[in-house]
Amino acid sequence: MNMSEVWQEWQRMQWMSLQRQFLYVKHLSPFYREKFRDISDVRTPDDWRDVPVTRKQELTAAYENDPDIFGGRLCIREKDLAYAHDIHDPYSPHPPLMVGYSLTDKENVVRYLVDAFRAMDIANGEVMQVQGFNNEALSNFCILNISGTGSYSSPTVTDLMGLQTVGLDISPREARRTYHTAKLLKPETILTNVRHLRALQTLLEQHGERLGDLRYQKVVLRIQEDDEEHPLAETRQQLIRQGVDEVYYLLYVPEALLFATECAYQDGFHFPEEEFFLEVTSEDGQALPVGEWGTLTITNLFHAATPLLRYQTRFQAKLQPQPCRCGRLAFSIGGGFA
Amino acid sequence: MDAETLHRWQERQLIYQVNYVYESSPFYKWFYQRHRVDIGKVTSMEQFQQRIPIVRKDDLREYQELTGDPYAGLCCVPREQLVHTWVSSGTTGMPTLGGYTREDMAIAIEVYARNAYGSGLYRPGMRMLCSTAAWHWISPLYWGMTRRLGLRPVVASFQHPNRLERLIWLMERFQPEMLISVSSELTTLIPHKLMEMNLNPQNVLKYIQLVVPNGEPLTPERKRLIKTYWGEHVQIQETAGSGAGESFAWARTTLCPEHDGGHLWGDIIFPEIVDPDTGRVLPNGEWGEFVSTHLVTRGMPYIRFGTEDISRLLDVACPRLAHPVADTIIGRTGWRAKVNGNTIVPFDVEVILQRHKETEKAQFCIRNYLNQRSLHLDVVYDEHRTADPEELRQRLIRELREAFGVDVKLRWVREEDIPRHVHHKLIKFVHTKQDESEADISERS
Repeated sequence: MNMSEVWQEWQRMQWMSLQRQFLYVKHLSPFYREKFRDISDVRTPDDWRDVPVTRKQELTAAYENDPDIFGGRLCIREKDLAYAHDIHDPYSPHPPLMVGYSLTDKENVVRYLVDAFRAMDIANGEVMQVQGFNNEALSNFCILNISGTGSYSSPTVTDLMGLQTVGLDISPREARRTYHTAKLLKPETILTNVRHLRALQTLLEQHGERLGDLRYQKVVLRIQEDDEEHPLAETRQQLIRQGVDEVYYLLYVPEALLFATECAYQDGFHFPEEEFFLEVTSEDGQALPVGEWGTLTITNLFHAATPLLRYQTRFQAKLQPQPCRCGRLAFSIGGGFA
Repeated sequence: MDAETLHRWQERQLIYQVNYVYESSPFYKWFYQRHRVDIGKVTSMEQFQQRIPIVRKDDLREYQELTGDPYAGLCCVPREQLVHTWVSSGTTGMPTLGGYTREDMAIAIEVYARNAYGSGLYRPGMRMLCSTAAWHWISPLYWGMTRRLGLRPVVASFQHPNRLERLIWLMERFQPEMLISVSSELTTLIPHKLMEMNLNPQNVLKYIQLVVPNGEPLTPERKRLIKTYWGEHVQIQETAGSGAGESFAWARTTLCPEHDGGHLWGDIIFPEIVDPDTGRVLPNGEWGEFVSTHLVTRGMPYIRFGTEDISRLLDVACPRLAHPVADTIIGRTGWRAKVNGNTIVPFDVEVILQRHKETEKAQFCIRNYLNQRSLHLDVVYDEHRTADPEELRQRLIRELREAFGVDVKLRWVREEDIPRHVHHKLIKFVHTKQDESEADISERS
């Protein structure tokens, strides 16, 4: 079986979930009911090709029609929401995009994040700096921040892996706090982004030090759509030259609850295959064949609260025509990250 | 719990905790041995107050530097038992680490839930807009409280004056009944922004029944402004002044309809007010430094910890609760300007600035000089509301002089000239470490 057939086989396996999710959002979300008003059902994979992609502008434009904070995308009762927040993106246009999740949504993500962390060689018991914002899924699923304790909520990644995490703000102006906690706690891993890391490097230079002096074994760099673009391979090599043992990337699409991560072979991004249906599409929303560059398009198959179907991100991507040595499906990202 | 039972409980727990930390925490063993404390002789509350020295942040920093222990030797349990590690805001110096065990966090959440429910203002199903920082110790506590009380929460971006539009959009859409963890500065900036947007603040904010500001103590003027702009019906639950959050987390007060001030949960912490210069325990009614002792914490207990917050305990015979009553926090012990024998704290200045519409946002900073004979203030005025800055300056100087009986040097500065610890907190007091005679006090704006 060649790689193209492997992807097709995987898509066939996802077919049932895809149909179910389509009907779920069409019935429960006013936004999608309107968007899909001409499509009664998706009975065959060919029908799926006619399902229009969802773009970020549509989601914010929907605020005009729907007075709630989700623009008509909420599929569960508001009182069943465990969390809701705006996407913390300092560059995003106003009004903000909102995301909500139920406790079951959270449990799903936490479970697959644990797998992703293990694939990045993060071991139980490690000390880890987790940088993010309060109003985002990543830090809340990783650390016990607003997720609460076991008595009040389901476990976080920290709980399940027995990590010793310290939550920090990812804003570059908070580099001083990152520096001091690194000095005190000597963490094995830092989960951060390039902007913060640069601010940290500047601070280190002022102290006559370099990144290697903080003795991080692993740096996990988050990548989001609106992040400053940088060539991933080059940045990785630069950090290794500065004394970091390993650098991993974590691609993060918060509104779709997608966290795609590298494995030890660092040959593309893996994603939880049973939880998502990924496509690469052309600008007009047509699915492109394996190996062709297009736009990463995500359908979340588990998200109950504010699910997204055929959500066209701004990431340039291709489904990899070569298998990763770990055996999992993978995609690459291009554009300014190539 | 009646007063006598509470007293017995506190005494028993104080003795227990002193022995517990002496046996379990490297810091306390070192600290008590250094102060030649005979733990065996701490057999009563009086003995506790006489024999146990007050712990200062500098003591913790000294131990941290000596040993390299990230938790400054405070940890009484294996580190694996800490389910959450957080960093202090660094308001009073270098950030310090704190941690919760699962049980300790449940106790802290209990404090928050009791405060919330006891105030009569929180009820299941209420919509809550909350914005706290990712690193902040308060985040999991608010969240635990939210889940425990069955509130409906939306988490907003962390508060910052440049993110007001987003916050306002959320308030218009979500129509929250409570706004949690908003900085005291923002309580004035939000209505100002609404007016700039040609919106009537009371229309947009009409759903809000409860505002819980964080970060800094609220002056009576700030409270009046909240009522003016947000609506007379709005309740304010003050939680500010948590300078040493790690210890004060346990000591949040709850509103009580019976009297001024709020109750501290005396079964969870033992509060004292001491003279910050001598350490002498002060009687109820006198202002001094708030000193906190954790009665039930197991992970990183604070025993006679000097919070650097200035407050006072009140003599109140409350018919509802026997728990001690504390007044608001009006500042920090390190933020006291001494001019010609007078002590002035930022709170005092803020009260006066807020009486004038041109400076009601109270964005200012006291510059403290050595050998100063004047009070030095950097102040921001609202350009939209100020016709004649010089006239305003003279007016403020007159009023400040009359209030404090000292000479006042006031200069106008831009908003960005006022330093901030973190996004949401202005630094209202700066020790310049310069002699007044050498100071450059020229105007910046």
